[in-house]
Amino acid sequence: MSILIVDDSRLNLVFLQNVLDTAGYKHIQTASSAQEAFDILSIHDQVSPRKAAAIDLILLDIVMPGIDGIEACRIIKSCIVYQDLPIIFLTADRIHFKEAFNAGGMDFIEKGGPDYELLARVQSAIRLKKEMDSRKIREEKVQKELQLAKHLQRSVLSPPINEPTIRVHSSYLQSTEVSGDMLYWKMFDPQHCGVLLIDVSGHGISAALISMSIRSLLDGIVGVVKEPQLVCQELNKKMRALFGKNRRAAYFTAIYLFIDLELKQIEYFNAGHPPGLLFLKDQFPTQLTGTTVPIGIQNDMKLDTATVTYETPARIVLYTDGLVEKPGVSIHAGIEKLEHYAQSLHYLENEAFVVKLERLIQHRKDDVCIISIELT
Amino acid sequence: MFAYQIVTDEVQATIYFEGDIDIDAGDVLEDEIEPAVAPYTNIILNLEKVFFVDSSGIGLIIRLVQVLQELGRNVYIEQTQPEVMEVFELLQLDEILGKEIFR
Repeated sequence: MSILIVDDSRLNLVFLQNVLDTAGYKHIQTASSAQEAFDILSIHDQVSPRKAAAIDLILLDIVMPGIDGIEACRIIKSCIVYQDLPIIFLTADRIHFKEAFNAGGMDFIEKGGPDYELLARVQSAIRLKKEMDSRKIREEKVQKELQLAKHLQRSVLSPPINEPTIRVHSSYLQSTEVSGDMLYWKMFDPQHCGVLLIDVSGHGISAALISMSIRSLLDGIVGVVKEPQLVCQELNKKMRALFGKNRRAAYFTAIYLFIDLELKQIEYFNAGHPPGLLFLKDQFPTQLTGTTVPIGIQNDMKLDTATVTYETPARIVLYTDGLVEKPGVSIHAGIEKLEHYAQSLHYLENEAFVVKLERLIQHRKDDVCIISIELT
Repeated sequence: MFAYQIVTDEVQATIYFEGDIDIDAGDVLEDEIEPAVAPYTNIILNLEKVFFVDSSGIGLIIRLVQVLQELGRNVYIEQTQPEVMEVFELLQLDEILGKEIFR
């Protein structure tokens, strides 16, 4: 642990260094002015260095010629890299206390006080600094992990579809670094496409673990059985088998469309999910409302589906509740707003359209996912 | 902020909820409320002062009601705010817990 003592009195410097040295503190540096201290801390023209000097505690005299201790403390504390560096003031006069604490000092030592007081204050400041350092390292590690997880999660999202008769684009916004939302789509053949959006209850890491484990099954479910009823049944079976024994109910809402581009027909299931919106030219949007309960709650859930037909050009918007929900406000009002806004953007091409819809997000506490399917 | 109060008579317990029901309410619901009301024949969840229930909160309510129903208790949810009811309807809670539960 390294301590920097700043005092214009040589006598004081030697005395303090002696006391600390005797107590076992071996890494001690001294400065006889604020400017000298800045040099040691690599602060030039009051500009923060990029990397902090290896100092864990500063003992700083208040009354010094030139820049006094209070001003020096203010300058040091204004450097980002030294914001957590504890500074203890050395003073003979309590008159400076208020100003000293305002400047960012954490403690004070009265000159001429007993050695044990000096050592006790130094020890507790250093202990605090150590604790803060290790916490910071831990936090940085977690943040790095989360960033990695975020990229990993985004890497499994289906890439956009750009075909002559169908285009699919999405916007995927993770509230913390990782999300409980998941999307998936697949062109089964040139005339048939499956599009799935799920929203795992809750958010954060536990919801993301569920969304990722379900994602790993989708090639084997959606890619194989294709039909909404069977997709729903398989998803529920897997969800019950994986997370059904949990103490807390783990479930997800989902909407899955099986689009027949030849017949211009969509069969879908909606498992407790906000209604998908089908926009046709010069018409009120059609809501693809709930056909069954959320997935993972009941062993034998009903497997109802519904079918709608469309005329081209048409656009379908699927989204998770984070886009339309605001605490204490009607979700239907949020959906209505989305309908109006989406209609006003009908002229935009698909990718730009999705990005614009992000503007409706009410609060970023929840994950948000938006999918737009353009049919021509 | 989530708070609750339980009023009981010989056969009935009414839980008056107040505030948001989300993941933060989980421990209280499971460790305090559930054991406190489990012995009563009729259990009423009063949601008059609840204006927001998120997806985790709905998971917690489903579990609480199901546990109590499995014990043979009659469970009711009453005075639900319209905006909360919209979310319950979206998630088809009546289908999951039985239509007779809402009153």
